[in-house]
Amino acid sequence: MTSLTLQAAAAAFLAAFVEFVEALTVILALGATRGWRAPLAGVAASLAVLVLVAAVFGPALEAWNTAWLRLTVGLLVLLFGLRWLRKAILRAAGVLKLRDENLAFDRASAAAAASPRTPGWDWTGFAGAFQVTLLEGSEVGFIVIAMAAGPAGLRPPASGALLALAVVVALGLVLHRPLSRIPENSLKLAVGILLCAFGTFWTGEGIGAAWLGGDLALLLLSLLWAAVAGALIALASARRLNAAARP
Amino acid sequence: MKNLARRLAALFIDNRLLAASALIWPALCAGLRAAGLNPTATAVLLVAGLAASLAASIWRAITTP
Repeated sequence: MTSLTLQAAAAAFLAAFVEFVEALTVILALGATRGWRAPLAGVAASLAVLVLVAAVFGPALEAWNTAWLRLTVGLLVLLFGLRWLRKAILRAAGVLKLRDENLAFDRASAAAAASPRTPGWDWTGFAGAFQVTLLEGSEVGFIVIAMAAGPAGLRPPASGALLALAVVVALGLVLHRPLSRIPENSLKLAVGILLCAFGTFWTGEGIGAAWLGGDLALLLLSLLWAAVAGALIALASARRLNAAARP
Repeated sequence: MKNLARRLAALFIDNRLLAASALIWPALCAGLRAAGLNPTATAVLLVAGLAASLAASIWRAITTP
């Protein structure tokens, strides 16, 4: 297994894990307050849409692997990765609040309980679960499809995402409560670093830049983005602490 | 539906400065490469430019009240 294949699978696994943990919180809140049938049907419908999209676009991108496609996908992955990395750095430095799954669960439960019930099928529970799974899942879908455009192909990222789905579903079934002890921000930081590395690598290839060490450059880029993220976290933390100490 | 579309768009762009620089640096590097810049120097410039853009975006976030 090459470093590129491993990194593609790891990026998809970590991204999917974080996103599905967030979706699980809302689905648990909907199920606990409104009953399970409609929310579970919403999740199933949404997953079917996501699998269909990945099944159509993934192999198409895998087959149509050109320099232009890599540049386009590279730029999109870069936009996506920088966004994740920026937010994770600001959260790690304490500038932005960390996401609290227990608080999110309480809010989602209150919103689900406040929504009126109508006799028959619970469309509110269905739509809520459908929307949250589609939103969180679309980030995962994008990452899987984007990775399929690289030399690793569709299988490693798709396997990583499916494994993450299985792990989150199993944890949800066993624990029946939000996964609040998962270090979400650290995982998001790792995903941001990996996506920035992939995005830089493909964008560079698309514009005719030469990477030292070929595919190994991806590993070096990951280390470089990790060093940049570490330095920026230290800078932002110091700045925040200085500002707080000022009278 | 409008809310869903807005949130899907925000998956890529929620900070315009960073999104713009993520597009400008590759365009600049592509232009310089076409003008004859060495491929390795292009790669170094791309990485440095993107890292500087991220740093600028973080700096702006921590210094803007």
